[in-house]
Amino acid sequence: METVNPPKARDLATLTIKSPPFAYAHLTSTTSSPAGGSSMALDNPLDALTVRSYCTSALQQFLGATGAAISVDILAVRDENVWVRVPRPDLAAFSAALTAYSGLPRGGGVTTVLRLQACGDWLGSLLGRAEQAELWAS
Amino acid sequence: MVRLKDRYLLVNIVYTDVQPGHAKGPVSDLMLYNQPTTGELKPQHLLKAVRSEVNALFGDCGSGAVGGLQVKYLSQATSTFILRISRDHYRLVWAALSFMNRLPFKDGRPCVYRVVRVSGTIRKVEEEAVRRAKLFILAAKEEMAGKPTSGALDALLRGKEQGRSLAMVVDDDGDDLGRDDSEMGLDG
Repeated sequence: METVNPPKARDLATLTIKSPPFAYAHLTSTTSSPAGGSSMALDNPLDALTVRSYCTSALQQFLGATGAAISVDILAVRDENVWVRVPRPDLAAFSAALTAYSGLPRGGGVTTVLRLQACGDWLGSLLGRAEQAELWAS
Repeated sequence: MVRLKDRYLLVNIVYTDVQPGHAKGPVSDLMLYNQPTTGELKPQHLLKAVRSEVNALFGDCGSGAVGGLQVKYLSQATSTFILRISRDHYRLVWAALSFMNRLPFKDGRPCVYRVVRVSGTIRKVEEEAVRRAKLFILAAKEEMAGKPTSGALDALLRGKEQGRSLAMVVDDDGDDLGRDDSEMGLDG
């Protein structure tokens, strides 16, 4: 009986992406009320302009003019979640600046703080991670 | 014991608000640009000005990095000073000096802070300051004598080799004892 050898698998093309140009971050906002407790419910919901001013002040305080010049793209704002994109070499500086910032006062003694939930090189895996956490939580 | 490495910056103050040819009396143009400074400039003023510029450009992170900044030498007659800064962060100070455009007083004169030498040891920087002072006097004399091309002026402005920027020369970190970890290059 003849056996037909299956054709050996061959790689037609391989591509390694060593340095992706952008890095992505997922942030959540928390508001602290003047009474001292922190609540997730927001009277005024988060919008892109607030996120933009928050990031700029955080970067300006931590890194001055060179920090404010870091290009931060706001990809999406959903309730209290924000997804942003920064050039990959600036990710470390960006996360440090956001972590060091003490919050944006929004009038009436309320401060908004953006917490860094996750950051990485690929947006798809960031989203997947968030949904995976929800799978086990609820 | 890990060695703490520094960089010493030799900086000239070049005045930009005097038109050549409008000075009182016969003064060479070179001397107009490199005038002596007025008597109130103190090391503390310079330090404060550089620190505030670094804070504006590089924020909290930058001003923390540049905390070891010192003014080692200030001469008002030659408008020259020497700064000491840690090796890893000397470029922050250099960038801040590039952005400063006035003397650090209220309504200070407009001027340019020109870094002419970076070195790992203060001895080389001092030697360079002396050498530049000699060349400056020679160039000013040649200019007043009316020579069209001045070898001393070339040496002052262009350094040891033709076309090589003087400030790009960085001396080794070695000392007299040995050169086991000598380094060359701007970002050593």
